Amino acid sequence: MRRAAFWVLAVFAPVLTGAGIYLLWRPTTLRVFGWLGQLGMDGPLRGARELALPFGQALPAWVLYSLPDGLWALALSAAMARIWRGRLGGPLGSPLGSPLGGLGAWAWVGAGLLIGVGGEGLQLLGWLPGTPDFMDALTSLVGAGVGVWVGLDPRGWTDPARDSEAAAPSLG
Amino acid sequence: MKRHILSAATLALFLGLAVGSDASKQGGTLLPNEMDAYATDYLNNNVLVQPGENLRAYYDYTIALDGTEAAWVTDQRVAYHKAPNTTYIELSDIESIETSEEGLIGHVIDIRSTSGQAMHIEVAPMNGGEVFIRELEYAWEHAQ
Repeated sequence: MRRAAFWVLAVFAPVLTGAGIYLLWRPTTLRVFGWLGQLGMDGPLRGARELALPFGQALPAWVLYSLPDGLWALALSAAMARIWRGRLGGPLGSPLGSPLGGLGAWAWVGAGLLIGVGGEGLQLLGWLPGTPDFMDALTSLVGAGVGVWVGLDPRGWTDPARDSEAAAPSLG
Repeated sequence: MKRHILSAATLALFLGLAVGSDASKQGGTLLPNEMDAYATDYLNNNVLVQPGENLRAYYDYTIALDGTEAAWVTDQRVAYHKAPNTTYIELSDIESIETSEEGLIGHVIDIRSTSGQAMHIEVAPMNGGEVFIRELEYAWEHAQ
């Protein structure tokens, strides 16, 4: 139960929220609108955008333009951290592991941070197309950090054993 | 090994999401002030727009947005490019422009020249087909 809640809350919900921001309030010149349009989704999407327009106007710019990057980094980092949890080379099976213990695993876990923040850095250097944005880098940094922490779950909140603890009657 | 495969699949999925939301290149119908460097460079490098010809609207058909299949209107001609071929109709030679909007296809534009040449342009839904038509009709009116 807790495992399923992790995937829903830490991975799918951030992805869906970020996608929702894009679909409802970002310009329709993004590629994804072309793809959805070719699937015949333009009618419902147009209606949803019209309904959502007043809410979008009330949201600050960083929510519309940078938060989706952070949510993307959060979801990716959480998923990777969960996949590699307990396999990061740490002593005695510690869920956090040691950064020096499993470099390959840490590379996967750090992918969200590397792509999110590194991408902005490469844009700054002119090696990637696009305009670097400090807020995008910041939200990606925070998102990746939160994602790794949630995914590794050092306190074991999402351990299946907790379900049985919660279900067991209290003796005290 | 299983975790590496799972990680690679997860990363591919997330990169797919990132490509879909990529704003570094703009899709849809673009006006001259919205043109990305890739599109302007492609037109110039392949001499698809002549010196003195002013672009009015541009639509790139490709998902990769690389300019290899595109339609555009200038103040002199309407063009359809499918690399390596380009078809042009001079605005002053246009006899008729018929437009319609069809659900899955989007905006459909059929152009016929006085010599009988036909050109068919489709702009996918939510890709600014109405802007392309508006600019085409404006340019045509002013070329007559």
